[in-house]
Amino acid sequence: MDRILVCFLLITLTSGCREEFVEIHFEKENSTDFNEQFFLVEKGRFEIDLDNKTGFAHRSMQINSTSNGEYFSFINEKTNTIYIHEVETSKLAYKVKLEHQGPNSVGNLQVASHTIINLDSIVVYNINTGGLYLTNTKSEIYWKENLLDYSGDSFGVNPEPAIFSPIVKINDDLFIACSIGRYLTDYSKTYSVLKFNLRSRNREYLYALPQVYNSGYWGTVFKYMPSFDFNPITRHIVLNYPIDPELHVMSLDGKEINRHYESSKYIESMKPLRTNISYGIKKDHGVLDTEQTEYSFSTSDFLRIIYDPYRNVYYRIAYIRPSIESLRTGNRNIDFSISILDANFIKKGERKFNGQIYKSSMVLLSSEGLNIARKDLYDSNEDLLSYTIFKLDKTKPE
Amino acid sequence: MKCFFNCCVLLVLLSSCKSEEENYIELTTSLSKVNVQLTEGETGVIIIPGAGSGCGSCISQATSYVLDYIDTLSSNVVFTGVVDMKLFRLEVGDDFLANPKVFIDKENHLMNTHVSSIYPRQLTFSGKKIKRVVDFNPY
Repeated sequence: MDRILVCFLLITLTSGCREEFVEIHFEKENSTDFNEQFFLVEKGRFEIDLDNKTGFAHRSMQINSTSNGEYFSFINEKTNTIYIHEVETSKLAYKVKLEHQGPNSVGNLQVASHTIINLDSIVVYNINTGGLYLTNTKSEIYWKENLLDYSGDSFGVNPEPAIFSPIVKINDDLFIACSIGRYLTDYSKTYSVLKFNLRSRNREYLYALPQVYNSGYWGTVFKYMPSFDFNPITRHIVLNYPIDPELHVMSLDGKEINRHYESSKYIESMKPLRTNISYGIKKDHGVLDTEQTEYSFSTSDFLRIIYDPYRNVYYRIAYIRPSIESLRTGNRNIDFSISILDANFIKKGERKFNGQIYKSSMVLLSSEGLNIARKDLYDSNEDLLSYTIFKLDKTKPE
Repeated sequence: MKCFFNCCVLLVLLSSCKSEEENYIELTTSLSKVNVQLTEGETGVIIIPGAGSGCGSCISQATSYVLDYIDTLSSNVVFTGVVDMKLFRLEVGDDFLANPKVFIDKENHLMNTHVSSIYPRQLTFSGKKIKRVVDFNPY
C-alpha cells in the first residue's frame, strides 16, 4: 500500500511539471526605446455611401493609384461585385458584377482578393478555387490561370492574399502572399511569396519562413501568414511575419538583403504554443482545440507592414490582443498599434488604437495618409463607411 | 487501497456535480441578459453563433432551419456573435427578427460560456439542469 501511494505521488508530481517554453525576448532599442519624432494625427474623414446590400467589413479592400487617379475598391462577397469609388470625390465610379458560373465566371468570391492595375486591368484571385483572373470594369474576363499546385513544386504553400496582405504588382509580376498548406517539422523550404509573371505566366516561390518558425508550434495558421509591401525607391520588398519582431528585406528575385529589428512597445515577449514543433503534425486539426484558440487570440502579433511612398516611411501594425483571462470573460476586442519607421527602419513613433472604435484590418494608404475604418460610426449609421484619415506630423497632438 | 480509491471517485463526482450546476447558472444568467427566460418544465433554446464564429456550413444550415420552422418550434432561438447586423437583417428579414421567439445577443454573452460552441446547439432544460445538448453538425 505504501509503495503504491509513493508511486502515485511520484507520477502526479512529474506529470504536473510544465513544459519549459522558449520565449522570444524583445530588445528595448527600436521598440520601447526610440526617439519619438513622428505622430499620427487625425486630419479628416474619407466616407462612402453603402447600398442596402453592402456591409462594413470585406475581405478584399484596396486603395490603388492608377493613371486615372486613386480608387478605393472592395469585393462585396454577398453579390460577387467589385465596387470602385473615386477617392477624390468618394463617388461610386463602377460596379463590376462578376458571374458565379458559366464561361465568363470567376466562381463564388466569398474568399477572394483583388487589385486594380488600371480600369482595364483588374486582377481577381479566388482563394477557394485557386483561380486568378484578369478582368475589367465591363466584367469581361481576358484570361484565367489556376495558381493552386499540388504537384510538389509549390513547397506545400497556398497563395492566400488578404486585406492585410494584398496582391502587389511590380512591373509585369504579381507578388502574392502564401500561407502554409500543412504543418511541418522544418519550414526552411516553406516559401512566403508566389511571384507570378503576367506575360509568361511563369511562377516562382520566394523567401522561406524565418528560422523562428522552427523553434516550436505557433498555433493557428494565421500566425504563419506573411504580409509585405514594395519600396519603389530601393526596389526591395519588406516582409512582416506575425511572430517575428524582425522585418525582412528581400530583392525582387527572392534574395535576403538584410533584416531589421523593430517591435511594438506594447509587446513584451512571444512564445510558441508548444516548443515541440512536431506537435503540429501529430495534432488532429479537425477537432476544436480551446487551448489553441485561446493562445492564438491572446498572444499579440505583428499584422502588417505598409510602405508609404508619399512620405517615405513604413508603418507596422501590431495586434495588441487581450490577456487570456480577459478573453475568457468574453473580451474579444483587439486593440492595435501602428509604429512609424523611417526609410532606414529606425522607429520614430508609435500610436495605439482602440479596437472598439477602429478596425485594425481595414487600414488603407492613400495620398492623404493612413485611412483607418471606424466601427463605431458604422454602428450608428449602417449606410455609411467611414475612415478617419491620419496624417504624419512632427508635432505631438494635445 | 480501497479507501483511497473510493475517496478519488467521490472527489471526481463532487467536482463534476458542482461543474454541471455552475454551467447551468452561467448559461441561464447569460440567457437572462438577452431577455430569454426559461419557463417551468422542460424548455429549450437554440443558440446559433454568427457567421465567421464557427462552422460556417453548420451555421447557415441551422439558420435556414429556424427560418423555415420558427412558427412550429417550441424553443427560443438566440443568435450570438453577429458581426454585421445590417447584413444579418438582409439575410433573415425583419419579420423573422420581430418574432417573439427570436433574440439577438448583441453583447455576445453566449459566446463565452462553458457550453458555447462553434456549432449551433439546441439545449434542453429540465428542472435546474441542462438535460440535453445537441449540436447542429452534419459531419
